[in-house]
Amino acid sequence: MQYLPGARGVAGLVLIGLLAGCGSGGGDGAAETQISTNAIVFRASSPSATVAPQSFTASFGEDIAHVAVVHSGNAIASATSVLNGRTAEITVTPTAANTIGPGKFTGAVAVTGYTCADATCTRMSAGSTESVSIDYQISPVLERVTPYVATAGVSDQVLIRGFGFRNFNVNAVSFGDVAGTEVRVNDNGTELLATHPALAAGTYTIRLSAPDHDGEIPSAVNLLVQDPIAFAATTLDHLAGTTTVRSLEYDPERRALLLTTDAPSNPLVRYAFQDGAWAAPAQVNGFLGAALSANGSQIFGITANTLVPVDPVTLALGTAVTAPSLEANSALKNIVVGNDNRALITTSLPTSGTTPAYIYDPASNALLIVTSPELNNGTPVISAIRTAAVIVQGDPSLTTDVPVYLYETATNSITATITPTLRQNAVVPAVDRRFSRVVINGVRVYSGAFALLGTLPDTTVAVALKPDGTRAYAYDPTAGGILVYDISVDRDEAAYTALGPATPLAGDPGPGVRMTITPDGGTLFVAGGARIVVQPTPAL
Amino acid sequence: MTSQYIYIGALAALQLAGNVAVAAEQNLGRDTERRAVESTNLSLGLSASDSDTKESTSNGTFGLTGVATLPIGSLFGASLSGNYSRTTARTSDVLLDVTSQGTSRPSCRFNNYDAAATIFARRPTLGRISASYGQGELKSDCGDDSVFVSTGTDTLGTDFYRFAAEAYLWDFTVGAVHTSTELEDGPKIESNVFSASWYPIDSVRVMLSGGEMYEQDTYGIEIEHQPEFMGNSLGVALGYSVVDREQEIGTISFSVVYHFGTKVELKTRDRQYR
Repeated sequence: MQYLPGARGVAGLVLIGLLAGCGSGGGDGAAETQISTNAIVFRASSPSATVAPQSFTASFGEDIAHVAVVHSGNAIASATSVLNGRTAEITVTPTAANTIGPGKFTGAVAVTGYTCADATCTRMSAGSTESVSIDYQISPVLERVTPYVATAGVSDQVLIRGFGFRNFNVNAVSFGDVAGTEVRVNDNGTELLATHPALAAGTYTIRLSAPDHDGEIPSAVNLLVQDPIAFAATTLDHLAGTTTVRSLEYDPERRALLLTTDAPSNPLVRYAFQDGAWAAPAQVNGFLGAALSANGSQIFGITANTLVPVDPVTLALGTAVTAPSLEANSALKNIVVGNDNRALITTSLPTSGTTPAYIYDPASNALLIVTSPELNNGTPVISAIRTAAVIVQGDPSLTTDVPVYLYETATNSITATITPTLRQNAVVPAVDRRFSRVVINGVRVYSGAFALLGTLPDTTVAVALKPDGTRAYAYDPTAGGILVYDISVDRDEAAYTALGPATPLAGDPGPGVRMTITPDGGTLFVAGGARIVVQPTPAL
Repeated sequence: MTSQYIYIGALAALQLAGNVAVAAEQNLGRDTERRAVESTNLSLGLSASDSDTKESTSNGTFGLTGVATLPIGSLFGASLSGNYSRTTARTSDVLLDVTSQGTSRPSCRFNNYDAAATIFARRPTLGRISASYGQGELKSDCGDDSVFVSTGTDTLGTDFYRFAAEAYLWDFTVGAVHTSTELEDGPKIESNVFSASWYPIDSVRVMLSGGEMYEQDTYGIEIEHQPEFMGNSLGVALGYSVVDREQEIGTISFSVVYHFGTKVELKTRDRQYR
C-alpha cells in the first residue's frame, strides 16, 4: 500500500503532461486547401451560343490525402480535375445554353481536401473547403419584330418576338435610343408588345432592358421606318392568260407587289416600284399562293404539295419541303405567316370536305400536319402584327353555316369562334393591323373578339381596312368605286353608312377582286382577273 | 510538438518503471493464477460518429466492428479484428444555397474495410504490451471528381503497424500507442497517443487521451459503461475528440458493443479479456 500514492502520482503526472501537450495548440495549415479564384462568370449571348469551360487551380496542404470536387446548381454540367502533385487544375464546364435556355443561373463548386481522421486512416475528415461561386447568364433572345416596317411620323404598336423575356425582368424597350411605351410581356415570355414613338425614317435597333440582366441584351432586330409614299393612281397589267388572282401582298420594305395568279404555269409575279415607276413584272412559276416571312427575308411559296422558300427580290427558289400525308385530291391552298415566322397553310378539295392544315416551321424546315380541326377549304387572313388570323371556310354546295376559326400565333392553335358561323363567299376577309376589326364575307364587321358591330352593303366585292382599324375601304362596283366606312363605331349590327360618294378606280380590276393596303394607309391595291389597280386611298 | 511528447513519455516511463516494478513484485503471486486472456471471446459492435470541421464539411460515420481475442499460453494473447465503416460527407454544408434551382447536391461517401491482427503479452495486474499489423482499403465516391492524392484514383490501400503499452494501476490505466500507417503510393503517417483511464466503479471507465498526428494535437475524452443490468454483456461508449488546428475538427462518437462469452465487469474485461 505504501506504493499507492506513487502510482497515483504517476498517473497524475501523465495526465498533466498530456493536457500540457494538448494545450499548446496546433494548426500549421498543412490541411488547408487554397484556390485561385472564388468566382467564375459565364456569359452566353443566347441559348445557341457556345460557352467555353473555365479553369481554376487548387493547391493542397501536405496532409491532404483525398480531394473531392463537388458542385451544385444547374449552371454546371461538370467539374473535373487534373491532379499534379499537390495542385489540381479544376475545369468547370457550364451546362449547354440551349439545354437550360435563357436566364440567370447560379451554382457552386466546392473543393475539399480530406485528411485521415484516425491513425490507421479508416475514416476521412475534412480539411478546409474552398468554394467557387458560379454566375451564369444566358441572355434572352430577340427574334423579330412585327410588323418590321413602320411609317415615319406615326406612333404605333409592334410585337417583339423572342423567348426568355420572363426569365429576366424585361420592363423596357427602346427603338434606337428612343424609349418605347406601353410595354407588356406575355406569360410565356415569348412576346412583348410595345408602342414606338413617332420616328423619323431610318433603321432602329430594338433593345430590351432588364434590371437583372448584366449588360446589354444582344439584339440584331431592327425596325425599319419609312416615309409614306404616295403612289399615283394607275393600273398594272397582268401576265397574259390571267383570269384569277390567288393571292396579293404588298412588300413594304422593297415597295413591291407580290401576286400569285392562274396565268399559265401558275406564276408568282413581282411588281417592283423603282425610281418612281412600276417596273415590268418578274415571275417564277409553279405557285398557288405566297406570303412574305415575318421579317421579309423570304417569300414562302406554296405549290400543290410543297412549300418553297423564294428570294423576295430575285425570286430564286430554295429547296422545296413536301407536305406529308396530303389527302387524296387535296392541295395546298392559302398561306399566312405569324409573328413566330411559322406559316399556317390551309388545304383545298375540289368539293366540300374537310382536310388538315399544315404548319411550316422554318427552324426545322418541316411541314407539320394539323389534324384538329380539319377545315373545309379554309381561307386565312392575318393581321399586320401577325398575332392572329381569321379563317373562313365552306363551299358553295353547303346548305348550313360552318364555324369561323381563329388561328393564334402564340399557341399555333386553331380554335372555332362561338360566333360567327357562316359559309365563306368570294370576298376574302379583311383585318386591321392589330386585329381589332374583322370583316367577313365583305358584309359583316366584327370586333377582334368577334362581336358583330355592323354591316356593309351586299354589293361589296372586296374590302381592305385602314391599319388603325377606323376605316373600311370597300370596292363596290355597283356604287362605282371605293366606298369608305367609319367602322370605329359600333352600329349594333346595323348597316354602316358610307362617308361620302364612291371614289372611282383608275381602271376596272375585273372579277375575283382582292385588295390590300400599304402600311401607311395611303394606297390601295385592287387586283382582279383583268388587271391591278393602284389607287390612292380616299381622304375620308 | 513531437519532442514535447517524447519528453512527457520518457518522464512517464521512468516513473512508471520504478513504481510499477515494485507493484508487480507485490502482485506476482496472484499473477501466476491469471492468464493474459482468460478465455476466448468475441465482441461485435456498432459505432456512429459525427465529425465537424470548422468552416468546412461535416461527416457522419457508421461502422461495424468485430474482434475475436484468444489466449496463447498464459502470458500471451492474440486478437483478430475486422471493421467496416461508411462516412458520408455533408456536401450541402459547403455548397451555396441553390435549392431554388431544383438541383440535387452530389453525395460524397467513403467506404472503408480494414482488418488487423494483434499479438500481445499481458500480466493482468501489471499491464499489456502489444504489436499489431493491419491492412485496409478506402474507396471514395464524391460527386464528379474524387481522387486520393497519392494514387490518383478513388481507392487507397493502407498498411499499418501499431505498438502499444499500458499499465494497470489499481483503478487507473495509463497507456501509449504508436501507429505507423503507410498510405498506398503515399507518405507514412506517424501517430502517438497517450491515454489515462480511470474506473470510478468497475463498470465505468473514463478515459482522457492526447496525442499527435500530422504534427497536430489531438485530445479527447471517452466514457464507457457496461451496465450490470444488461448482464455485463453490453457496453456503450460516448466520446468527444478534437484535432486542434486551424480548421479545428470536433468529433463526437457513440458506440455499442456486445460481448459474447464470459460475463465480467468492464474493468475485468479490459484487463483480462480484451
